[in-house]
Formats: sequence, C-alpha cells, structure tokens
Amino acid sequence: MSFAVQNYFRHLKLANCSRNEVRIISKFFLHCSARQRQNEGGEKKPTVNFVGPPDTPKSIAKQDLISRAMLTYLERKQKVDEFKQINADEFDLGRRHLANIMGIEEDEMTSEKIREALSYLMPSSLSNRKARPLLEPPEYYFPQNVGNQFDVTGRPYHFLYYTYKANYYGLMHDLALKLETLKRLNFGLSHTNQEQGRTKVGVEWISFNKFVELFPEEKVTEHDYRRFLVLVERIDDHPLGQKYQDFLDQYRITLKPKSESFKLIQPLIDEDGREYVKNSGKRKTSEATVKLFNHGHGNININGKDITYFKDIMHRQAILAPLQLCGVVDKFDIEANVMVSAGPSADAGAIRIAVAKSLACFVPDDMKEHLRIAGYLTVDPRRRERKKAGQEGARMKFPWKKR
Amino acid sequence: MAASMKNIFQPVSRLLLRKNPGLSVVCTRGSVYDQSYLETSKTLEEIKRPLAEDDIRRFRKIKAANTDDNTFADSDVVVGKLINMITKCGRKEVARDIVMKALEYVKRVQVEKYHKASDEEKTLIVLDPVKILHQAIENGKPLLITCRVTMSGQKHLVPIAPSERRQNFLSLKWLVSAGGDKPHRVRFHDKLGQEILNAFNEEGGLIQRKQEMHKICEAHKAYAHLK
Repeated sequence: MSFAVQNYFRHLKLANCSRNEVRIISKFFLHCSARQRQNEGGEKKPTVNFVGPPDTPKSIAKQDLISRAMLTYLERKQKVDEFKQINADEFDLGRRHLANIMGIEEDEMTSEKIREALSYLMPSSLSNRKARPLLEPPEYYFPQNVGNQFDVTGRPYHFLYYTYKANYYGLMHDLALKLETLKRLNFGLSHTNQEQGRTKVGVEWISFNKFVELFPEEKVTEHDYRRFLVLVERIDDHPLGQKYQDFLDQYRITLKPKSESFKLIQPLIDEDGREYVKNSGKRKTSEATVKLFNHGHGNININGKDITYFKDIMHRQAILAPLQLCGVVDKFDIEANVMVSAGPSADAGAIRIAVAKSLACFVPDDMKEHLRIAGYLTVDPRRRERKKAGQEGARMKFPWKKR
Repeated sequence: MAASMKNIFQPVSRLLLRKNPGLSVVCTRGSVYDQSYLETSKTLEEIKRPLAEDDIRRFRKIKAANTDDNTFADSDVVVGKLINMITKCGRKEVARDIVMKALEYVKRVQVEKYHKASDEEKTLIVLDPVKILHQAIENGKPLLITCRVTMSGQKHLVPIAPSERRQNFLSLKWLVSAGGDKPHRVRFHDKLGQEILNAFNEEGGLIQRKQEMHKICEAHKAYAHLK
C-alpha cells in the first residue's frame, strides 16, 4: 500500500502540476474514506466535455480551445490512468496467483474468496481491520473522480469545491439563504397576524448515519451534522417556516407509534391447567423472575413469603402498581423468585418490571399504553454512581478545613 | 424539536448519543436517559386520558417509573414532595410515618369540629386532609422573593417574581421549618399537623414567613429595576 502511495505521488510530480494542485489532490486522496469506497460505482458524475461547451461551433479548431491549464491537466490524467492500469494488472496477477495457491479456478476467485484466502494464509491478530493484509482492486484505494472536477479554464465546476465538502456546504448555503429570506419577509410584520411555524409531532430529523449517506464523496462529521440541525430547526421554528416545510420534509423521517413495537409472549398452560406468563426483570443489580397467573385471587408469593417479604409499604405498592393501574389486583397471582437481591427497592423494581411485562400479554391494547405511559414497561437503566477520588463519595466532598 | 435544544445540561461524553444535540453545550451533571426519553405521567387522570393523534407520548420512549410512583388512592404529588422534604439520611419510611400521622391529626381535628358544628356550618368544613394540605401550600406561596445581585461591589437584595416550582418549594420548606419550631415535649407530627391547619386558615408560622418575605421585598423595592 505504501509503495502504491509513493508511486502515485511520483506520477503526480512527473505531471508538472503546481504545488497547490498537488496539495489539493493529495488531500483529496487522503480524504478518500471507506464510505466512499462502498458507494463507488453507484453514482457516477457525468463525464465532462474537455473540449468546450456543447454549443461550440465545430469550425473552431480543437487545439485552439485547449488552454495551457487544460494541457497540463490532460497530461496528468494520462499519467494517472497509466498508473491505475499498472495497479489493475498487478491486482489481477495477484488474484490469479492466490487462486493458484488455494487451488481454486481463476474465475471463481471473487473478492470474498480473496478475503477468505488472505485470512487463511496470513492470519492477523491486529484489532484494527485497516491494518490487516489486504488485496483489493485499485478502485478501492484511489478516488474515482480526481480527474473531472475542473473545466477548460482550470476552474472547478462547483463554487464550493475548495471547501472539500462542496455538496454539504452547498446545502448549508441553501438553508442559510432560505432563513435570510424568511427574516426579510418577516421584517415589519406584526406578530399577531402571522401564520405560526409549527413543529411537527411524530417526525424527526434524519439520523447522523442517514445524513452522511447523502454526501457519499465527502467527509461529513458529527459537528457538521449538528450545525445542519441548528439551521434546519431555526427555519422550522420561524413564524413563516411553513413556506419551506416541503423542502425540510426531505430531511425528516416519520416515527412509528411505540405501541406497535410491543413484544408479547403467548401465555403458557400450567400442570394445573392455569394460564401464565413468565418474565424476568432487573433493577440495579437485582434479578427476579416472575410467573403471572391469570384467573387468580391476588395471591402473592415472593421467595416463599407473601407480600410481607417487603417491610415498607412503598415497596409493597410498587410491585402491585401495574396491576392496580389496570384494576386487576385480585385477578392475577404473582409467583416471584428474587435470584439476586440488592436491597428492597431494587428487588421491588425488578419484580415490578417483570410483572408489568407479563401483564401486558393479558390486558387489552389501551391498558398496555397506560402501562407504558406510566413508565412501568421501561427498564430502569440507572446504576449506582461511582465514588470519585479526592471526594467523600460520588458527589459529596470532604469537609473543608483551612489547615 | 425546539424543546430538545433547550436542555443544555448534558455532559460532553453523551453528546454523541443524543438525538438532537445543540451546538453550545454547558456540561454539569449527566443523566443515563438520552434526550428522546419523556417524563412519566404520574396521576391517574393524566394516564387514563385518551391520547390525541399528535400526542408526543405516542412516539417517544418513556422514562422508568420511580419506586414510589404509583396510582394507589393514597398517592399524591404534594404529599410525596412533603415526605421527600422531611426525609433524613434516606429513612423515607420514618418520614412517611410522620406525614401520615400529621394528616391523621388534621383529620381528627376537622372531624371533631364537624361533629360540634351546626348543620349549616357542616357543609363548609373540609374533612379531606390532603385537600387541606393542598390549600395550605397554596396559601403559603410567596408572590415575591429576593435574590442577591452584586452591583459595583455592593450586594443588593432584589425582589423578583418566583416561578411556580420555586413557590411550591419555598412553601413546603417553610411549612417544615415552622413544624420544627416547637417546644421540646411536643411531637413533630403534631406540630406539623397544627401548622397545616393554621396555614389552611391563613395564620401560623408558614403565613408569617411568607409575610416576612413580602416585607423584605417591599423594603428593597428601590432595587427592583436591577433584574
């Protein structure tokens, strides 16, 4: 790989480019990311007519139109193409050689087979995948569109080309223009008669990963994404933001109601012919399993004891809270087993989540939604906060003493 | 969407996990929940009311309920706050016991009054101690409070209008401190019950404290323009 890079630059130098051009191209080369590699071949930019604009009359000689910048550019392009061809040949040779070693037909040596063969022949324990041995076609390493970004006069097509993120900044430029337009329209209007910009419920801005996919050839960072969000939300919140809602909708996704994603378990039948659902729950480090019996009488059994397993009334209420919300305290039996106990609060929390999850399998849909809104179907992710060095505890400091 | 930007109390480490993070971030203390989570609905009425088509609770995750969040008949938001305020060293069961005894005291007094009253007066007497507590807290809310502002090296007390949250907090705090102001032999829950009843009738320690605060605000009204 390193040899390939050196070779690449040597060719570039041969092509008599200016220092600035070398810097740009090398930077472009370094920015060539894995993302770009995945998307290669999918979208190709239209090939550029180097000779001149399509309307140029044919009577003008070709040579006249080609400027000096164009000449150097074409020279450079030729060198790069040659270099790519050499690399492609080398890759093909390597591929055939590998096929020979592995005893596979040449035609069957696909990229997957190559990867398998390399991991077999040269097993690497390096954790970074990029550092492991690799055999890929030259398109994998080198940017595809280095050549055709400039026009005849040597100027880039996109006015934001030198930002390296032409499309991203192009979008930001559009958004900023829209916001300025809104501000201008809003100027001098009274606030009472305006159509209020509304934030839509049930929709969300596209996630970072989706956003990145919009710009396959550019390295868009988390920070760029946040700047995009700030701008977009400002337009959305603007009193006249309704004007550009259709444009903003391109960058939104519709959320599904959470009630559609319930995972329900089919009730099982006991030896005695009773319907039950078994579930487990966790809270802090407590773990509990609960069998919730349908058609019960409100009997409770926790580790062989009844509800007096908990001394405090708060914890007793906690485990019955989901049943009480649905009004079925005396219609279900609870059989709980606390495997790991971390104190009464944690035990009660572990039992409660298991009871609520089981109960959701028996009750109608609207009650499931009640259980969810009341927070009984959410696993409590809070944990004990660690003690800090130089402090009494997690938050508490040592008492201050002058000396 | 806009609301998500307003919450700036997120640590930097969680910045990348957040759904709609803002640009400027002031980090103080963190939360395990990311910004997409919503608070739980606490009261029975709030939970059972049918959800509108565009209710945000349909689409978002909800935080887990706390251990003391339930919809039993005796659960109440203000009573819960009072219990939490009285709790010392994590002994919540003791605090709950005190508050329940104080409410029992209120109930006893009101029932006694009820039986002694004539038929006309009976309709005016409130017997529910929780309702009395609510009214007492409502009566104890200060309309103005002071805050310190440093101007050219001098500290001034500046009267400001408190938020409702702050009003509730101060009212509860003054109620508890008024309950603690008692002779040695008197039990705390009895004195707390008395104070609740007194505040309900617009008198006693809580109301006195509120009026003192209003007096201070009156005395410093010259600085009201500072904030």
